[in-house]
Amino acid sequence: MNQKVVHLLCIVVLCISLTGCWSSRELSELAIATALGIDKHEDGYKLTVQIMNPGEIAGRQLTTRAVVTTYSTTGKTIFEALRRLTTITPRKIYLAHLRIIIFGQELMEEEGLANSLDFISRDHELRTDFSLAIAKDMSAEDLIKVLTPIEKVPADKIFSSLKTSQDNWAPTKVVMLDELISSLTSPGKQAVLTGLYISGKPETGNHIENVQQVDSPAKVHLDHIGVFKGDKLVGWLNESESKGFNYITDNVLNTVGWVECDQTGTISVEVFKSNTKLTGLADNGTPKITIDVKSEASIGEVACQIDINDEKKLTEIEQKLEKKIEEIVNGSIAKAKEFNSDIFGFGDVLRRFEPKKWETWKENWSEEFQNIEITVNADMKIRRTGTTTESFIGKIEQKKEKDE
Amino acid sequence: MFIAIIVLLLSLILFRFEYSQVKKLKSKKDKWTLLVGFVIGLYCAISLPLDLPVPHMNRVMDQLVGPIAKPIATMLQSFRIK
Amino acid sequence: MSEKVRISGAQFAILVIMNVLGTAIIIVPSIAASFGQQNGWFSVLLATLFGIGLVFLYYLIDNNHPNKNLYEQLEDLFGKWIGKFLSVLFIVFFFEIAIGNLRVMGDFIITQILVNTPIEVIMLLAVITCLIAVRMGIEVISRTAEIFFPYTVIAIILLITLVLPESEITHIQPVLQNNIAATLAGVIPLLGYPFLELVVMLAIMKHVNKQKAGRGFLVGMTIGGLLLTVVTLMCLVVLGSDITARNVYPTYVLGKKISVADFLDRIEILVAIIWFFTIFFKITISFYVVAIGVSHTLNLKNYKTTTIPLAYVIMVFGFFASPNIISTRIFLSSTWIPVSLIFGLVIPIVMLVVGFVKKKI
Repeated sequence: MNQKVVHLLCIVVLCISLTGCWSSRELSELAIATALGIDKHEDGYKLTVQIMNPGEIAGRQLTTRAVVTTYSTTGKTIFEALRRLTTITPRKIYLAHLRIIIFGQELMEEEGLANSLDFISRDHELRTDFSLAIAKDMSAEDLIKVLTPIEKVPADKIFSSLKTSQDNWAPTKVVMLDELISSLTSPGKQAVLTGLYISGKPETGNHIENVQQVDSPAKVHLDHIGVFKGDKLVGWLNESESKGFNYITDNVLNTVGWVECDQTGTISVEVFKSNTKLTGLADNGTPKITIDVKSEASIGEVACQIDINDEKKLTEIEQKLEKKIEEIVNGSIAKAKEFNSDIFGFGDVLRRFEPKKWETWKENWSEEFQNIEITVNADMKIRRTGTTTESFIGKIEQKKEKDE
Repeated sequence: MFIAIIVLLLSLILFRFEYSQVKKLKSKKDKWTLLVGFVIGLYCAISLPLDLPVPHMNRVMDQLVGPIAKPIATMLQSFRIK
Repeated sequence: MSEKVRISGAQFAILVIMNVLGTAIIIVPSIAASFGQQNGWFSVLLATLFGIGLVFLYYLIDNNHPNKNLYEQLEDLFGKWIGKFLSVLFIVFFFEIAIGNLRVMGDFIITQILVNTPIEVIMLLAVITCLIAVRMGIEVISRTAEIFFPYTVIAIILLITLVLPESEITHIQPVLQNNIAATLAGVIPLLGYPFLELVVMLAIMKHVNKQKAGRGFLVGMTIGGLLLTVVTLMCLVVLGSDITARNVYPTYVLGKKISVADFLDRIEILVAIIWFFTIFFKITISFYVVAIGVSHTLNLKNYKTTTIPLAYVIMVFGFFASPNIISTRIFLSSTWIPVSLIFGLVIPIVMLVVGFVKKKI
C-alpha cells in the first residue's frame, strides 16, 4: 500500500517536472529580431531593432503591412537599451535568429567597437552565426529601416548579398563575431568590417512604396572595407583595395578581373580558384613577408581582336593579369600602411614563422609594420576559354573594314 | 515557509516508506543511521527555503588547504596568459 | 556489504571513460587554453599520459588486495581506527566531487539552455535520477553505462566531424614553439581535474574480474584522455586560443559552430547530450562510492539505508558548493590541486608502500 502511494507520488512529481516547459516561450510570445543597429547617442547608445512580422511572411493571406518593423531606444549600456525596448515592443525580443548587427560610423570612429561587443559575446541568446557591418557615413538606424524587394526581410537581404558578393565578387567580406574578436585581441592583426550604405533616396526607404516600385528608390549597397586601428575605425579601403585585401587574406573564392588588350578593348576573366600563401621571414632583424597568390581563371569575355587560340597570347594575358594582381595587392598594402593598421595579420604570420623574433617585434608592431618588406608573387593560369574559342569580334571588325 | 512545509511533508512520507524497508534488515544501527541521516537531510532541505546557514564546501576546503593551495595558485597565475 | 555483483571489463572501461569526460569535456579546453594558448591540446595530452601512469599505480594497489574495496583496503593496511579516519577523509573527497559536478552541471544548464529555470529544480532532478540509479546498485549502473555509451561516442564523433570544415590549422601554429613553460604549467590544474579524481574507481574495482580490471582501466583512461585531447584540439583549431580561453563553456560554443550546408544548423544541444550522459555517471559513481563508504564506516547492513539522506545532503550542499561561478573556476585551479594530489596520488602511494612492506614482513 505504502509503496503504491510513493510510486504514485513519484509519477506525479516527475510528470510535473519532466515536461521541461519551465523556460519555454511560445512563438506567439516572441518578437524575433533579425537585425540590430547600434549608434552613438548623448545618453550612451541608441539601439534599433528590426523585428519580423511573422504573419506577413508565413501567413495565408498577406496584407499590405510591412514585413518588418523597427523600434529604437537609448540607454547608458546596450543591455539596458535592449531591455528598455520592452516598454515599446509588444513582446520580449528574441535574439537567437539575428542575422546582422550594424554599427553606426560615428560610434565606430569616436567610441570604438570594444564596449559594444562585450554584450554581444556574453549574452546567451546571441549565437555566433550573424555577421557584422558598419553603416558608412550614416547611422545604423537609417540603414535598418530600409525595406528591400525580393528578400522580404531586409536583414536577410543584407546577409545574403554579403555572402553572395563575397563568394562571387570578392571586394566584400563577411565578418563573424569570433573572427572580429580574435583580430581585435590579437597583437599581430587589426580588425576590418564591411561597410553598408543607402543609395538613392534614403527617406523613401522605410515606406512600403520602396518595394512596390520596379526600381526601388532606396537601395542598400555594400562595398568598401572599413579599417580599424585598435577598436576605432580609421578609414576605408575602396573597391580595388578591398579586393587586394581579400587576395592577401585568401578570401577570394570567385571574382572577375580584366586587362587591356594590345589594341583597344579588354579581356575579362573569371577567377574561379585562388589560393594565397603567406610566408614570414626575419632578414637581419627586419620582418619580411612573401605573398604567393596562385589563381586559376577562365576567359569570360573578349572585347577586342585577339587570337586566343595562340598559346603565346594566352601567356601574355596571364602575365598581364599577374601584374594586375600584384598592383592591386600592393595598392592595398600601401593604403594599410597609410592607416598604419596591420589588417592582413602579417604580425600573426610572423608569429607563426618566427616565434622568437616576434617577441621582440610585438611591443612596437605598428612601427615595425611600416618597415615590413613585402614581396608579391602572383601566378595566374588560364585553364579554359568558356564555351567558345576565338571570338567573333575579329570577324565583325574585318567586315567593318571591308564595308568601308 | 509554505515550500518548507511541503518539503517536510514529502520527506515524512519518504521516511515512512524507507523506514519500513530498513526495518526488514533487523539492524539497530541501520535504523539509527536512517533516523539521524533524515534529521540532517531535513535540516538541509528546509535550509533552502528558510535561508538557514549551510557551509560552502568549496570555501571550507579553501580554508583547510589554503596554506598549500595559495603558493600553487600564485605560481599558476604567473603562467596564465593575459 | 555483501553485494555479489560483477562488472565486466568493457563496462568498467566505459565507466572510466564517463568519469574522465564527466564535466571535464566542457570546461577543460578553457583551462588548457588559458595556460598554453595554442599549445593547450599538448597540456591535455601530457595530463593524459600522467593519467595512464596513474592507472598502473591504482592497478598495483588493487592487485595487492583483490576482492577488497578502497575502504576495506585502508582498514587492512592502517588498522581499524586510522583506516576509518582515512575512509572518512576519502568520503569527504568523493562527496566534494559529487556536489562540485552537480553544481557545475546546474550552472551550465542555467547559463546556456534553460535560462529562466531555477537551478534548484535542475539539480533536484539530477539528484533524483542519480538516487534511483544508486539504489539499483553498481551492476545496474554499469549496464546503463553500456547502453548509453554508443550515443555518447556518436555524439562526440558527430561534433568533431561536423566542425572539421570550420577548422583552421593556423590557429594552433606555431606548434610547440613558444609558451612552453606555460604549457607545462597548464598540465597541473588538469591533473586534479579530471584525472586524479579517478581514484574513485578503486572503490568499485573489486567487482571487476581481476584480469580484466587493469586492462579496462587502461583502455578507458586512454580513450577518455584522447577524446579530451581531441575535443580541446578542435576547440583551438576552430575557435582559436583566445576565444577558447575566454569562454566558460568553449565546447558548447564549438557546437554552435556546426553548420553543414545551411541545413544542419543549431544542433549545439548535441554537445549537451554527450555531457548529460557523462555527468550523470560521474555524479552517480561518486554518490554510490560515498554511500558504500558511509555504510562501511558505520558497519551498516545495507548501503541503501544511507542513500536517501545522502541525496538530501548532496542536493543542498551542491547548491551551496560555491557562491558564484568564478569561485568555481578559481577553486578548480587552486584548492582542488593539492586536495586531489593528496587523495589521488599521495595516499595511494603510501598505501602501495605500506602494502609492500607488510607483505615482506
